[in-house]
Amino acid sequence: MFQRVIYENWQLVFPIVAFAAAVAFCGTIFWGVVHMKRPQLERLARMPLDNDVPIPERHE
Amino acid sequence: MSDRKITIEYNDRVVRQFMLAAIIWGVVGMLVGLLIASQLNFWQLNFKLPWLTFGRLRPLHTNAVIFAFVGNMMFAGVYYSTQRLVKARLASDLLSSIHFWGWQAIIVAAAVTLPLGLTRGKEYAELIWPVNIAVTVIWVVFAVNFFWTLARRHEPTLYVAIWFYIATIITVAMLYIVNHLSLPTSLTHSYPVFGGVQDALVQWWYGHNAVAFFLTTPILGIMYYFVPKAAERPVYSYRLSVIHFWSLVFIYIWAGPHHLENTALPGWLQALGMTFSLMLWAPSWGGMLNGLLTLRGAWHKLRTDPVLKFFAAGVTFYGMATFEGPLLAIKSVNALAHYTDWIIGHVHGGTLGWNGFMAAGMFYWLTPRLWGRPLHSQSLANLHFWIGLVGILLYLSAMWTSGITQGLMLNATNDGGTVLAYPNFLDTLNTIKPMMFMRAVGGGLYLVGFLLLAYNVWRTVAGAQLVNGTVEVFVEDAPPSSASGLRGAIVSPPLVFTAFGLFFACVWLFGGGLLNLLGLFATIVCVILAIVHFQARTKKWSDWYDQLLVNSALFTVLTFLAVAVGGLIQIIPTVTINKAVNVEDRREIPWTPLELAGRDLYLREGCYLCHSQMIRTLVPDVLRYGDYSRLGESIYDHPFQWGSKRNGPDLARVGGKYPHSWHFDHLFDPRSISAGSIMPDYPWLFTHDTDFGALKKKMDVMRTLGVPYPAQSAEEISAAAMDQAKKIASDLRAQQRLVAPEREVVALIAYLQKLGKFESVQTRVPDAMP
Repeated sequence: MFQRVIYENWQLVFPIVAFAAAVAFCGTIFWGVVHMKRPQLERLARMPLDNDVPIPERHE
Repeated sequence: MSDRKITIEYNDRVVRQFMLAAIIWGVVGMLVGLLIASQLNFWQLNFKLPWLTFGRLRPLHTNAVIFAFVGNMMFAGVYYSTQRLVKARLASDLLSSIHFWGWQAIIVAAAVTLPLGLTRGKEYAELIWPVNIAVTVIWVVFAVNFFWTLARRHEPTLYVAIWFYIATIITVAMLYIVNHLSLPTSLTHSYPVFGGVQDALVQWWYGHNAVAFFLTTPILGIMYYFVPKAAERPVYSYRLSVIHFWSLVFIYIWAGPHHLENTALPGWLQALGMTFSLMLWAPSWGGMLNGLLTLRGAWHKLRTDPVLKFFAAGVTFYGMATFEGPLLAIKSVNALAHYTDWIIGHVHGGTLGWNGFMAAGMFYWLTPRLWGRPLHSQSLANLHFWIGLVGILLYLSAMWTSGITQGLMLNATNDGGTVLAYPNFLDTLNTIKPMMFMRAVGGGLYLVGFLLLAYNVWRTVAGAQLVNGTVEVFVEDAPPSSASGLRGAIVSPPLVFTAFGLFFACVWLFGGGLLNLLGLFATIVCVILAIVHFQARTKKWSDWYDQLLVNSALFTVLTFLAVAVGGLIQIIPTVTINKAVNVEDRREIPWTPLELAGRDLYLREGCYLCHSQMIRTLVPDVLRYGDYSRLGESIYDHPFQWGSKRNGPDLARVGGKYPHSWHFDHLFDPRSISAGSIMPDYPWLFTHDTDFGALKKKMDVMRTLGVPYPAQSAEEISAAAMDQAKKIASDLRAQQRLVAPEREVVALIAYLQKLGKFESVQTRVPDAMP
């Protein structure tokens, strides 16, 4: 194991940029979701129910 | 917008093929699982055959259930639902066929190579390099077929299930390629490019995200399609599904280091793994709640409908596993649970409960529709559910009990924490044997349930007419695309302002003097401008977001960025800093030729599946096994051998602890040394010869990978190996153990006796800090 933590300044950019990008990214998505229109949401939620295929009936 | 009525015939042939293949391989994979579980109580169940030992069959079980069972099931569900969601037949029948047959050929290759001991020695990444190439090719075929179908779709909007499929395809490709980067030494053997701590990190970045993006995201997509279909209800909250998707795919990638808590992995990585694993709880439960609440108004159907039973239970097990996972990622909990059966319980709650039950529900729903005939027996399907559920609960409770018992006993100390309460590893092993037996019973019940499914499906489809979904749809013309497609989507207010804001923030944070001030000023201006622009041009911002719903190319790029970030953040610093040249304190001594040969035998036999080589920074580990493992002590190990399970003791410092004769006897008959041991015999090590001829190529590859071997001829290498082997054989002869020096057991003893040896490294004088 390392006895000292070796800091390289330029590597510090990675976590900072990542977290900042994540916040911006998630914030944008959240904003977009909150502003989705209700008719659009209802249509999207129902998409799997289009083209419903009836299950074959069992004939006795 | 024009309304045109067209007739689409879906390619359900390939769906049927994948579904039946999933059922067959599911039976095979679960049977192998039952066998190896039984071997942990009855070691004789390898019948003294090298191809049937636990170490060789466990990879067969994991590969079969993950890639063969869930893989085939996933492809069936993806192809069925995608065609109907995008209102288009699969783009290419040829690619569909190549995908199916290619995938089955890969599975057969795995079934042949793994019992033969041909392995890369990395969990869920054991398949040899030619098969890796085949997997990559077939995955590309899948991707092309899928995205081509999207390009030809008649439904412009991408439903959330399609998003999960896109994320699966992109991320699995990324993970698989990086973790399988290897240099071949022969047609059937290679060494991974990464070694030591780098390999540990990359392996579990891959391993955990194979769970995420092979076992979770595609099944979530399947959930978002089939649960509404089965319940005849729309999804509970589309908003929630969007947030669920993005937060899941971003956060999941970072969780890999939770497999390496309390090890020699740098602490910042462990912390990242733990915190992101805890954060992962939220999106996972968002998905679970969305799935369960979709059943609102349809709960009464659970009483009679086996499909909904399986889906409801499957989603519930998903919730359970995704609560347990973050819990286990907490360092202090992990200190108890790591290497124990609790982890096995956690895994199987997810695989049996989530994957297995979702598969069963999907198969029961699809079968009547694909074969135009009602399911042979609803009662049998209901019976399957109850037997399977009892099986899972038995399995989990057995493993929880076993795992916690192991953790408590192995970590128990007396005398103020200075003495182990149970110093003999076998004390713990003997205590958990009844629980291991119960696990096999639970798994057996689960298999019985699955066999009922196989029978039910067979009785339904035998002689039935094949049905391809044929529907007439009103197709909408695609909405007018944005001004310049992908380019217009990228050069858009949200992305432009974000990019500039990040750039100026970096200038502010890292610039010195005047740059620091300018960066701060520019960042503030950027944020203000973004707010003003948003208020003035709100429609442009919302139009951009809407494009994500219809522009699969942009969506794919953003998904890739989301999943790539976590890996880059974790892997790049590790690869650049944690190299042999930077190691302090202790560094591994490179293996001699004979020890390298022995090491490859250790991998061939799958010893790493029961024995770890990582003494954690925990008092009980140090008391039991010796000084904690330093990062530098495995820096040259390609692949790393830190291990993930202790069915037997850790071996990190076993070198020199026992004489050669001890290892000789132990490998021939473990019970002659350790009464009650569950380790199998390895008699073939005493009759087969070590392949000295392969060592030259192996050492050349190792040297290419950075291990400081001198360049030597094949003769020099063989001579060095034989010299060392003769010394060991001579020592053994003095201890009345007769064996020819070229036998494999001699090489393996050489390797085992080296474990824990290291060279001390001078601490470098620190440079002046900037």
